[in-house]
Amino acid sequence: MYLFDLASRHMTWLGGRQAVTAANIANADTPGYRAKAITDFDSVLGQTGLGLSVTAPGHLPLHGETITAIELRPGESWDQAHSGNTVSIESELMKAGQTSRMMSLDTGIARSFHRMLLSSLKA
Amino acid sequence: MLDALTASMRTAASGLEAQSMRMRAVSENLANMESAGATRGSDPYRRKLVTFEASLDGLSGAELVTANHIIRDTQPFRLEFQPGHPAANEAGYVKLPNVNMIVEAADMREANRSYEANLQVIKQARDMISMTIDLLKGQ
Repeated sequence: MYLFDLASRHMTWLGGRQAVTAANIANADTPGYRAKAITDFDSVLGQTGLGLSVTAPGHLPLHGETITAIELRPGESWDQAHSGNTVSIESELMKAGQTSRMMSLDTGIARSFHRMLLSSLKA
Repeated sequence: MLDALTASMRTAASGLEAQSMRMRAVSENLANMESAGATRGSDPYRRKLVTFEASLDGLSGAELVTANHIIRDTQPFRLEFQPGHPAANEAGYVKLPNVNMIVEAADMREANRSYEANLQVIKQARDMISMTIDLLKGQ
């Protein structure tokens, strides 16, 4: 089922996004810390299938999809403190709320799809 | 390697710890606002400052914040004319701590705000984990 795969990958991405937001908020008062953002889900989705397959025990496991955090460019952050810190707590909290909402949407879709599958089995 | 949501909770917990460390320094400063020396011409309490630093938790890959450096403020002390004080110098001036209550109150407010933000992250990560677990419950 493609939808389950998509939902699970989107949720993995959301988890990564939440981790980056948490790191930004925890370092909101660290001098010189640059706020980070995660790569778009589009680009994460585009990377699928390009991972190297592991065929011998000596091969290092490489994850096909890599979620990387990149630093925000100067114009992208809401404000910059005198110390060079570019974290804005307001925008990060907004992002965290958004992530949580998207997660709720994902789980809702997965659940209803699962129910559909079950109802077709029961009939 | 932890999953990202647990890692974000760990990050937020390190933020809580750092902010409480800062709160502790503020309360120590406020409590010692009038702590002058006891001997002639001696130095009073010197204001404490906490510095934050971003650090990487090697085990979980989570990006944390640490506040383990407590440094002393190098600003000059306040001078007050009190010839009868045991710590007064020859001219009759007593050195009082370089603590400014308004600065401390602002610092406290800022620590409070950051603490709240970190708590919010923990709440949301917990909600997200329980949403995922709820998927298993079916109907």
